[in-house]
Amino acid sequence: MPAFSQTGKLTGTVKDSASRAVLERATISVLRADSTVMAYQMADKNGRFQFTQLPLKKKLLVSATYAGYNVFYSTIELQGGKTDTLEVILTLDNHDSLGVVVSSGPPVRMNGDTLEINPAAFKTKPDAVVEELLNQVSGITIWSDGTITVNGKEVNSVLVDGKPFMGSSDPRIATQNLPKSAIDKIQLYQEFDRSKIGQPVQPRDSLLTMNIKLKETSKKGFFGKAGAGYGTSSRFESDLSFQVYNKKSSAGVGGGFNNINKNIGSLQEMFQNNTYRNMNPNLYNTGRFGGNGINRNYSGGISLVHNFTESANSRQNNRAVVNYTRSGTDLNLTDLNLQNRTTTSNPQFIRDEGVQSNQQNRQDLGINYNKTNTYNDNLNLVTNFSTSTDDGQSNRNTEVRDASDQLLSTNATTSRQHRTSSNESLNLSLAKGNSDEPAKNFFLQLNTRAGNSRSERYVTSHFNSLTDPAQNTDINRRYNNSNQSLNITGTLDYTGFKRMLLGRYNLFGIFLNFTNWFSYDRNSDNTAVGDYESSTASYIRNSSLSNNNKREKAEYTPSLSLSKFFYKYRESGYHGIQLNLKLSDELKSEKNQSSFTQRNLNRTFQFFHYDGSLSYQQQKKEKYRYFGSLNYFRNFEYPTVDRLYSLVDSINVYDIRIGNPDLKNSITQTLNTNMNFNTQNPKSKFLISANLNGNYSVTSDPVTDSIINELSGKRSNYYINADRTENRSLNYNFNMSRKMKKSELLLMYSGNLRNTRSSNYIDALRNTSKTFGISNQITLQYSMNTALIITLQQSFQNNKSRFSLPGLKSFSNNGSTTRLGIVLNLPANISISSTADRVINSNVKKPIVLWNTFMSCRVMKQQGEIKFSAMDLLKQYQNISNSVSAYGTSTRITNGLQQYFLLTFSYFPRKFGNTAAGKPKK
Amino acid sequence: MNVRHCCFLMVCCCLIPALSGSAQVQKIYVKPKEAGIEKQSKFVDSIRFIPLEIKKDIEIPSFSSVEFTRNYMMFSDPEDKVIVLYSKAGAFAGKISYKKIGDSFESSYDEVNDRIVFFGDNNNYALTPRDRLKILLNRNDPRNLKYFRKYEVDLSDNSFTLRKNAPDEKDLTHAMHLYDDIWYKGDITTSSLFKDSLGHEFRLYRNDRFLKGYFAYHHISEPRFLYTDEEVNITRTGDPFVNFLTRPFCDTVYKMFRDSLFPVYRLVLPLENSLPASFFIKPFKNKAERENYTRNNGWIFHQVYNIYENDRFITFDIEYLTRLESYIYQKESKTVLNIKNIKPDSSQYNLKLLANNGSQLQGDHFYRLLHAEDLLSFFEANKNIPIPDDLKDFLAGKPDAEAPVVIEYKLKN
Repeated sequence: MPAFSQTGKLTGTVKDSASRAVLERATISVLRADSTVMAYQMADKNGRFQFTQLPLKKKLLVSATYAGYNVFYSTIELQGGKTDTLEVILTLDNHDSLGVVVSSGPPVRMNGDTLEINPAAFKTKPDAVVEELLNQVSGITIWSDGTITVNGKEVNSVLVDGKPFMGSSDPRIATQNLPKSAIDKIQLYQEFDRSKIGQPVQPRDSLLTMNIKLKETSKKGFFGKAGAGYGTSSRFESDLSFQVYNKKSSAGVGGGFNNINKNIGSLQEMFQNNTYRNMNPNLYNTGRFGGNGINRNYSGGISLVHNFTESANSRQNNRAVVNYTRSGTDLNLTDLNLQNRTTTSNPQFIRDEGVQSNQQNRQDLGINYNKTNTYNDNLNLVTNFSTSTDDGQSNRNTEVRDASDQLLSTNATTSRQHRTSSNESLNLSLAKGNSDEPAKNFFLQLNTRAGNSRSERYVTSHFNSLTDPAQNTDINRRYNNSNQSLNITGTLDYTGFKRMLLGRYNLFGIFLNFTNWFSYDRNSDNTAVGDYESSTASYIRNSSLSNNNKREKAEYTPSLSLSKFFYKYRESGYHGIQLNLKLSDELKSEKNQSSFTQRNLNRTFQFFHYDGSLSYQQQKKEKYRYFGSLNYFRNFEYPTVDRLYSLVDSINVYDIRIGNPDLKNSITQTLNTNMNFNTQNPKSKFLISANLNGNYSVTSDPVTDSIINELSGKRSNYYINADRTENRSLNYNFNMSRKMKKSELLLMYSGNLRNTRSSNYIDALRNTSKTFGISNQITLQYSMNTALIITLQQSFQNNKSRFSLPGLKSFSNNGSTTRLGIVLNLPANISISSTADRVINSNVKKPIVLWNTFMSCRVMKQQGEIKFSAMDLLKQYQNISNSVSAYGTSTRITNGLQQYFLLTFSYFPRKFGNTAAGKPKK
Repeated sequence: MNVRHCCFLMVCCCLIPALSGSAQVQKIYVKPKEAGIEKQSKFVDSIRFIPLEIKKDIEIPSFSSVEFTRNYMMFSDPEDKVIVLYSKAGAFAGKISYKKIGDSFESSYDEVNDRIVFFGDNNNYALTPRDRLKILLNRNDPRNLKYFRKYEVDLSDNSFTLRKNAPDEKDLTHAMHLYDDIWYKGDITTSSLFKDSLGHEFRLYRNDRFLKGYFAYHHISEPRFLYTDEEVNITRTGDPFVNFLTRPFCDTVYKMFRDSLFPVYRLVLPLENSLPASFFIKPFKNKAERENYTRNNGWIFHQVYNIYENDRFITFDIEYLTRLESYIYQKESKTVLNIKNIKPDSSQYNLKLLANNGSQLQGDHFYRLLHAEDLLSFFEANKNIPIPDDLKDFLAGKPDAEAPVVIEYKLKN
């Protein structure tokens, strides 16, 4: 294809017309015939510029801009085999002595420490949103998970006029709704991390912030989406999201109703899933095929935000956010669980299937108040109230067979329950830092939570043993429970401790932090259990299960942290080491009062421990950044009263839990390492980031099970201490992006390894189980000028378990998914997208293919959308999942969505200031 | 005297010198957004190159500026904590490393004794601004000397050895030498720790004895100086008895002949860049309020620095609340140009000599450090332009891109 391989080159200089002085950092743009930007760059210190790989024999427009000068335009047409040279002479704009540039100005410029992006310099579709604009800015990458990076650095917060847009921390509500035409400029700068108030400042402590400045005429507006759809198999969906804002306040209503497993429970999720973005049609806000059962979801809510200050910076905040949501789910689930169960002499195969219906309704009210005056203070107050009611019923049938497929036992259970609960919580965090009075620096966090619940449950269980009919049981039982709980937890970080203790003495530059953590927990349970007596047709109190229990727990942990930083700044970057040592003394007291005498306990514990960490970071300016840390910490756990003196309920014959009063305390030691690397070279077309997280923990005297399997399959679990358990895990990811003019290639690879070695007892014999799991996913995404997005994804999982006890069989299962996704945004406001998932599961004979296709068309001047969804076109999908544990492997198959077709109409009301979105004011 | 009366008097004090001397005071109109572009060669001439002797392991960072001692040119690298000395002809003289004395030390040249002085905090102590003020107020207490360390290098001794010395009162009070036995202090601060409410922005001392105070202000509650530390700036001219003096939040430039002060110029800025009247009388409630005012009004005038004047031009820096800009005043046309709008041209080898920072004034010459790469790339691209004599040997030696060259130049006169 020689025609495509031949490209032209353009070089030149930019000079002032009067003095012929070169104009460093003048912006030169090469535009296509339709005025869209093809390439741009800034002149170097000698006023020179150079463009390569320009198309031949095409009319191109070259523009040059410099503050205070008239814009220069010239048309060129490059020929093959030679370099075109252009001398750009700029004349002073005498009509504009204040330097206000009449043209669109340079696309990006540095203003002090702030990088400013000028939206007007980028040619986009009239209805383009901020996200589409950011996609065109070199150095900015929007990853498919919504993360935004600038030259490799992650943007930690996205603000609009210095404040979280609509009170939300999710950047997509701003970047996928606000039209480019409403934006004055986008600023990128480093901001102080308030979580470090009162602590020594480290290079990593600043946060990269993106601030979207609205045009003065767009400081008020509204936007949203209202959509409804109906399809085959009586599938339906409806979504509502409407938000209105002005300089100080904003309000939003959202809601939805569907029976396609679409998540709509959270109001913020509703706002995020119903944005206007038209670059990448939302393939995720659709029916969720992976979900268990068929869910009929509904929700509705309102969100109000008011800023009591008009400041447009992020230092000063005085804001209240109120959210109210009412939501619910009707679940219908049928499931089948196939379990390979390890026993020494008789491997058992369990088939467990059930039908379940559940109805949940809940209301949530949240109030959040935030006040900051500088970067050195922070007040945050969050209160939440929630109520919920649950009604459910289920029928389950379980069969246990031996290796020769002989039936050993069956169990049939029915259950019916009703539960109501209410919870209130109040979280306060307050931080103050003052360099003049360091002894007054502190950080306080206080969380209180109170809850009430009441439940009523009716369970019948019919166990039939084919090996020993004497074990047959028939139980009809009622459980009534009421619970009241109160928890108060607080942390006081006294960062001024060193100053208070040592005055002006610097202690070799070691930073001291005295932390006081305390918690008070009270839990009262009143459980009444009755067994149905058919002769009297009433429930007779079961005295071995009915009980009152009140548990009070008080904990206090004073900790002293010592930190020392060694770092060196240079013109070319910095590197530094941080050492931390933390000494803690955990003091715990627990009092348990019960109607069962043996459960009356009054215990105290003391556990002194030391934790430490070592971290290293290095940044080479405009090249790369590396961070690595190694952490060590210890945890202490004592056995709960329910493990010491369990109330043994034999209604579930396959899992009878029996306590052990001789259980010992367990101690877990953990070694953790975290490493990440990312390139930050603005000149490179490649961006690479990688992260590795490793974890090794060993627990001495862990609580495990001693299982006694009876021939019938009936199983009792006794709590017992093992000698040790070891866990290893490794999580890793690697991301790479490559910009190619208007197209971009993203490569994302992530995975994890898990390895556990644990001990248990099976039929009184000691067994060591080793489990191993690996999961990997690689995604390749190519997007061409937002018109075509192709995604290729491959994931695979493998689970294995091995046992030391002779006679126990090792198990393994594996699965893989191959996904191909294509999005085609046609110029005529039509978008076609399709995903095909090929799922292979070792427990399913044939691969399953889930093929979904969507076609949407924007109508009514881009404010209406007709969308046709064809889901599971091949009608093959099954919900299957695998898992592994120390006792064997399980495969779970549930009902779920299957083929349906849905036609949805959505309307997007939008207005920003006096200008309707997409129609720039003349 | 209540605070309001005191504030009124302070404003009067600030305005009266300007008004009383209005016959002599020349107004200079500065438009920060002015966009005119000029060629550097219109302002700069007498360019001379002083290539520095290339030594292995000696690197001078690009941000380093030239400072002149009695016999040497001095280049500081605070990142690596190194000072490099060259003779005034460019021959390497020595290197002083002060890494071992700690992070808080900065070098300064003591012209009276021809020494480099490193004065800083004792690492064993962490001081707050309030601590420093308390120490200053009790400076006669010898126990307070433990908070500081002082090291010196005697430049008359070629070994350039770093020696520890005891800090004295002048070090603690940051007293600066003016001429003969006259010293000055220009630090301005307000605090309830002061017992006397009368303070002066600028004080002259004969050795340690107070001689004269200028520009009285309320030492405890002066509104414009609350929750900030300010300083009067002295810019030296070639004549030790003549200096320019500028004050924070004051647009008047004073010329000082020995101990007599005269207002000579007044900078007039657009209203949007000027301090409002309320700034002088309405006190900030707390430090946070002051900090927010500063950050929200980045382009409001703060102080003038670094004045240089000859018959044709005056150069000066204006510090706004969060920015610093350099300007040149053309006396003939009475116009002010932002120095960043002056562009280098090929007659001066495309070298950017006038810039916001980096140039050092010594007498009537400016000095600026550049690296060889700027010259190499220019002469490579402009082979028709002859290489100046003082550079020929240097460039013939094919120096590294990082090889340092000092450029001496003058403003046209």
